Amino acid sequence: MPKEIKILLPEHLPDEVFDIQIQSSSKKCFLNYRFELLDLDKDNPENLSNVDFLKQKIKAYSDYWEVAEIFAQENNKIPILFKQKKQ
Amino acid sequence: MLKTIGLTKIYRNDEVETRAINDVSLEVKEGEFVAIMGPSGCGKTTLLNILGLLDNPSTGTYHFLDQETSKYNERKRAQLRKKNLGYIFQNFNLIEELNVYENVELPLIYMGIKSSARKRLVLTALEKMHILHRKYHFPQQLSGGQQQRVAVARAVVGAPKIILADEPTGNLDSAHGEEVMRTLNELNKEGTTIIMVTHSQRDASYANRIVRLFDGQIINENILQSFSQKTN
Repeated sequence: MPKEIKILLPEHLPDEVFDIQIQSSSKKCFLNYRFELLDLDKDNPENLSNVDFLKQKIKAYSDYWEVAEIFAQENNKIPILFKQKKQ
Repeated sequence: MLKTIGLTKIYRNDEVETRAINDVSLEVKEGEFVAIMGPSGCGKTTLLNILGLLDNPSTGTYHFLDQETSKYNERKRAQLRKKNLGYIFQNFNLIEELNVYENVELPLIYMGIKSSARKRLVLTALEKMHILHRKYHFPQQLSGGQQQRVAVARAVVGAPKIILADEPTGNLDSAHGEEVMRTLNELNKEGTTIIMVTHSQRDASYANRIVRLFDGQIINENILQSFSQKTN
């Protein structure tokens, strides 16, 4: 069963990858997260709706990453947290 | 089991029209555990209220157990609800004036179940939720975790086919939250279909599938684990 661990990350920049190593007894696992900030003013030249823009960005994103969380839009920017898929 | 096509819910006042959900098409199969995620205000609870027959969509169709329900009036929706659905809310929504036993008994009274059968079902549900020893306590005498266990007992006492949970661990600490999630997981393994709105990635990890909403629309879906689809 999942156990909740909260880790406060230092101030982060878009495109930054967080590598988290978890060790339980002798077992180790690695989790990789990447934070992206989609800028609706800069990154959306086709002027798509927010939803279509998000869908397009997520679809075009690397096959090795999946969405972990989409956060509320703020100042015309949509923060998204991606998680690396298990290989 | 549940299927929506082009579901839209519009709230209007004098000047403003708000599309809380917009063109949502979603299917949930029997035995699935689906988590609905998305930022605040994206339409999660509105969608859950429609799926739970607490509200009607403005447009679109909603097939609930092979019945097209989108135009059903409150009386018809209530009939379907009491036979098939159990609800768990973030704020527990227990009735303060009733004790634990009476809160859990309430849905069975609405279902018209006889007193002797009610007693057996209520005691079984309370025992399953490990709250039987508090049956004569009132909600305000219980901790948040205990209140949510009572709410889960109330949701499952009538053996519903589907449980709808709106942020079920939102008011609980992580230990009590995990206890509630383990209970939902067990109910799902026993065959109950579960649809849960959550902000928590930890809670969503119990689901088979995550549906993500943004601005009232489905953005993407992740399959987390396969499930054995139950057959009638």
